[in-house]
Amino acid sequence: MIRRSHIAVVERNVWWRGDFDVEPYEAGWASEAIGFLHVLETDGESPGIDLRVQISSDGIHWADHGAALRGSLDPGVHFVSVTHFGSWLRVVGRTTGGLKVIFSWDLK
Amino acid sequence: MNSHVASHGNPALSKFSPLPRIISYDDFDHGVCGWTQLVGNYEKTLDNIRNSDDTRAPMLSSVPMFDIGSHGAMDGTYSLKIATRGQPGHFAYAVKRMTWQRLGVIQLEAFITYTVEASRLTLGDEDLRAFTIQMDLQDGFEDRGRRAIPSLRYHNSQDGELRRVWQIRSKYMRPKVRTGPSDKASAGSTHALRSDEFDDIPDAYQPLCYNEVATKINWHYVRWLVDLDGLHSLEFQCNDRVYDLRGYPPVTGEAESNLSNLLNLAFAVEADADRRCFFYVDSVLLSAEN
Repeated sequence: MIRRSHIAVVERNVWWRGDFDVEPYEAGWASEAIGFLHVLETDGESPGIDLRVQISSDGIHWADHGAALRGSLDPGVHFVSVTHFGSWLRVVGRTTGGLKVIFSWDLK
Repeated sequence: MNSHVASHGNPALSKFSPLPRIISYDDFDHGVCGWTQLVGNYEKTLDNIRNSDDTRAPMLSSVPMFDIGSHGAMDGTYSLKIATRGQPGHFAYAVKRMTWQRLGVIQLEAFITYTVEASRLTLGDEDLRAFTIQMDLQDGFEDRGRRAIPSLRYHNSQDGELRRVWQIRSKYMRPKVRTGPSDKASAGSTHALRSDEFDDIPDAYQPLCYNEVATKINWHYVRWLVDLDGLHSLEFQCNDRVYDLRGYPPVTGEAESNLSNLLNLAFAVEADADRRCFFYVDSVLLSAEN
């Protein structure tokens, strides 16, 4: 059986300014994930971001996984890698300045 | 009868009553099988996607619940789940895109279920507004064709009041709105889900088994017979009830130049409260008479 993979775009062409959270995504079938953050535009020069991956066994109650994406971002592709995440994934965080983004989970 | 004999050789198909030619069989233990989120049309910029096209990505779900763990699927572990945001009126939508080979009768069969997020310890049966089973069809192109989006909607509740009535889409297509300068794509005629486009089917009050807490689900069988030649519904079955839809005229609109032979299947779910609503399907069988 060939290995299965799937890409789920969970945020598309939205501005993140200040606090943000992305809708949960269930992916218990997968053993690894890359969260791709495609920054389309920025408002201000190299806005800062503190993005945290959270995990859950029920999609309701959440804990920080430890994986994170922090720093100043320019337009382009950035990512955070996750393994041993159980069945649910989401990202939460905050920005300083504005980032217009597409966020996707690349799962396999 | 022959199809029953044939399908008994395959236990996964024996719960269906397919027409002779099976076009697709989607068992979500094997992946998403082509079901994807809907995105509105756009041109040059993503900014002209409508805000209403936040239809969310479908997931392969083991139906996990905080109190019992994984509920599992009708078959195996995974079903396809679509989930709304926790916002009244928000809807999630998944589509499978194909084309037809012959303008004949086709039949969609599926096992479905629905519930709300157990984020509150209440049943929430009135928090899910509706789920919709839909096809998006076109029989030709430009002035040689018509587009139709036959749809069946289970109107579960409205503003917190239970209705639990099957509805059929009965209004004409809205005028097309171009998304950009090229005349190659339009917005405004798609995902026909507005409640004012639907009418109750007579005697179609059908309370489905929703169970007694939000973490218990029961699977339901649906079967929908559609005539591609006339672009209209013939018959719909949900569990023990069969609805004759032959008296409803087709609801058609202008054809698009790039949608010849269009055959899309779709499921949608709409929230009625500030609570995520979930719709699950496992599995889906599309068959044709020829």
